[in-house]
Amino acid sequence: MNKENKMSTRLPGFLALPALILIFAAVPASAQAPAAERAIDRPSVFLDAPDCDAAVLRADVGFVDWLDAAGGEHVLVVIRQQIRESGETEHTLTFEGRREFDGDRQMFSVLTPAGASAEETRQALARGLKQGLLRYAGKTGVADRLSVALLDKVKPTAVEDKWNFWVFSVNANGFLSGEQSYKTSTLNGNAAASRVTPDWKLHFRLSGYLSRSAFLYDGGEIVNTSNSRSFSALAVKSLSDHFSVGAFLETYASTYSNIGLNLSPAPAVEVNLFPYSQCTRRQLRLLYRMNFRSVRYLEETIYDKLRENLWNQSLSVTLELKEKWGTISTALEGSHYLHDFSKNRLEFTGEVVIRLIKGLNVNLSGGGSRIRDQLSLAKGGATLEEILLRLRQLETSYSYYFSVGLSYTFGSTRSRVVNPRFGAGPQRISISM
Amino acid sequence: MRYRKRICAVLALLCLAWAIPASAQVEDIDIEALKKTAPKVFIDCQNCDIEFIKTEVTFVNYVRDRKEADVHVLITTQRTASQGQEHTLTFLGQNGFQGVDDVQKYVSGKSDTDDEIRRGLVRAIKIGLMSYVARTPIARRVEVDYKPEARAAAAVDRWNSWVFNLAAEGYFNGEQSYRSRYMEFTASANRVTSDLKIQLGLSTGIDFNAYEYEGYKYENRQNEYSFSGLAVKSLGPHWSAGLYFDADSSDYGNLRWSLSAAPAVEYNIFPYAQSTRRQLRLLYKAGPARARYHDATIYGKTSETLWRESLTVALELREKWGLVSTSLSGSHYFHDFGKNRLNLFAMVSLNLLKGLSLVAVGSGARIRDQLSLPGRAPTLEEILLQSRELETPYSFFFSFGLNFTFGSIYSNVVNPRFGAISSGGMRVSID
Repeated sequence: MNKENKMSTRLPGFLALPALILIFAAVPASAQAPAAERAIDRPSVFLDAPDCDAAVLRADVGFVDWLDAAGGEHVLVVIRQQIRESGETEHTLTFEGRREFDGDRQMFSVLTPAGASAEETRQALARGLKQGLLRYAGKTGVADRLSVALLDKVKPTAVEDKWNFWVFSVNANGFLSGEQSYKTSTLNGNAAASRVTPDWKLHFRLSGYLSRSAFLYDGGEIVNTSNSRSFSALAVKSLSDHFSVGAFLETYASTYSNIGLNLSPAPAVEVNLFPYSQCTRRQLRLLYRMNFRSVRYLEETIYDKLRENLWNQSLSVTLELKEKWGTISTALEGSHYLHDFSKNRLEFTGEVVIRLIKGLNVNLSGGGSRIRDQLSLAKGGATLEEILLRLRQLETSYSYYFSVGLSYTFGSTRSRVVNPRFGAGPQRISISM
Repeated sequence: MRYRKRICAVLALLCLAWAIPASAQVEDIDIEALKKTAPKVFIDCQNCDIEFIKTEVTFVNYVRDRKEADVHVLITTQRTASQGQEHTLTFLGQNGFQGVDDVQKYVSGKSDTDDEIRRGLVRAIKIGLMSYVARTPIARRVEVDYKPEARAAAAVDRWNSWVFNLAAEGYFNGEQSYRSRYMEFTASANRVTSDLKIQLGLSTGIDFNAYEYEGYKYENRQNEYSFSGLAVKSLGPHWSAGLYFDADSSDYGNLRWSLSAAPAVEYNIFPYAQSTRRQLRLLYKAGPARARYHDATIYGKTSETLWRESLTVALELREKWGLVSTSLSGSHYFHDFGKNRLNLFAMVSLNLLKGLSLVAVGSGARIRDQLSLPGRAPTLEEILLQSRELETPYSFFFSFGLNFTFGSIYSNVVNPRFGAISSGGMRVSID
């Protein structure tokens, strides 16, 4: 009874909040014009170019407001000419920011060859003028109607590189956490070498992983460790905008999977139904692999094996789309052993993020496996810790995960205001190794 | 025969002439030679689609280390009032471009797709890079286009700056011996102007895990509910005052429910206007909390009302050489000053030497205020799965990654064949 009384005396405090909000909100609502738009729609510019046909130049640059007289401009542009000894004309363009752009000044020159026609000079100057005005226009409302492009196609490898595109890296990573009754630690190290050009992709990587966890229970300590090591290599040759051939080599050892040593070379081919050059927008890749596996187990398996040599083939289909309406990324992979076709596996993963209507976003992600090829399962039973902490692979004919998220936003959705006071709220930190 | 050849040659020439853009350069354009002299750019961004940037912005060269760059593009983000993102692109000139700096901004909406966001960022990157490109020979092959568009007049904001969001999330996974299910529902209403910030949020998390193996069976259900409210009034470029209001319920923390309210003040040593690059904030709050427990606590309580105060110092820096984010907070109860807690969080990401980078994240707490601990002893499963709060005078985590890269400095190439490759290493992302 007494507690309920206390509860009801707390209620006015609860009600006080909306009241306070109303008081705050009532303050200067009118002064708060929603900052949905940028303050300036486009910069006003005055051009001081006595040696040029200013009217023609001005007509070429449509994304600023040209002023007929100096005064009140956001940017003052001055163009001056000088003839070099080589006969080229050097046009110096000076951009002087005023008002909101006060102090924002830049200068560069445009060269025109000796004997350039008036038309050529006009084009060169107009280009320089547009390029120089871009940094001011970028800060105004006109920015989203501008586009910038290189007129030519150029190879990404057109650089001088004394390392011939080889990149090497070494890294060491660790994670430790704990409190009085438990402690965990994970260490991981990698060394990698790679050379990626449009023609060839070469990648080599050596990795090691070590993990330990300890729990205090019933006066004793429960300690579990697991580790893995691996070496992987990949070489891919580009054959056309749709075909590639290559080979994988994988070597690893893992206590989770009961594997003392696994060695598997695998030649592979890939077809992309879309041209590879569109890869950031869409890909539909089919990858076929023929794997040879030579395995040595840590403990005798449920099939009474300590080692075996096996052939396995796999086919995967990967679809990736990133378009205006959203992103789709899915993969389906099937594989089976050649000595026994019933030892097989089918895996699917997918992620879809789509905006259905304005403000409503849906994301779905999931994966499922039908598993009939757990050849490495150890005979002995698992301990309670191994089950709860998922320290070793357990027998299963399937696994799945699925997540769905729906988010609907409405109201004043075009505000540009940033208010950092009292921090950004709880942040999620994710660490991946 | 010869005649036909000549026709072919003329046709080929015509095709060529047509292929060359209207600006019809008489001189030969050796684009490869021009590309070699283009600025070297380092894109310093946590969550950008770097491959897309490289395929869209081809008039510069990309390098993998900031020390090699002519232009360092530092991209930071901050939440906008509409729950979107303000991307601040800071262009810092180096080498021959020392002193040529610029800041461009791009704002994306909460429901913008990844493709829209990467296109907006690419536009801002191109605009910002032009100040450097204009000074190099490749500039004469870069064209700026303008598409005049009739734009709708700025709409009147009939929502008076309020933004609402409803979200539901479900996560399910399992195999023969294990299954888990997690569902989360959230609703929020925010009104953020530069003068006043109001944030109201409701959330529910429902968690279920089951383990089954050779006759052993264990199930665990845990729910969390919370309401949080915050109102902050701006008092000049350095000061703010506000009020927190929270209501929580947590199986993990043995809380049937708790209600707390706390007025607070904050002082930022840097002006708030610089917050995307630097903040050093001191936040003080004090107020009462009323709690009711599921199980009687180790102190024999089933409910209590307690007053508490806390002080937090938070430093956030985002500079050329890296990132520092750290906070230290201390709190104590008024009925017993010995019931207190000290929390330290720190994250640094540094790139001080060519090729060498270091990331370290850690947090530690000295805990002397576990007032809600239930009296009964935890089971083995509760310990292993960490499904309830356990008595501890401290907790910590620490993670580090050290990476050294050498070799080719250029990273212009995008090669998607056989899928993505990774050279390992640690990645830390904050959102």
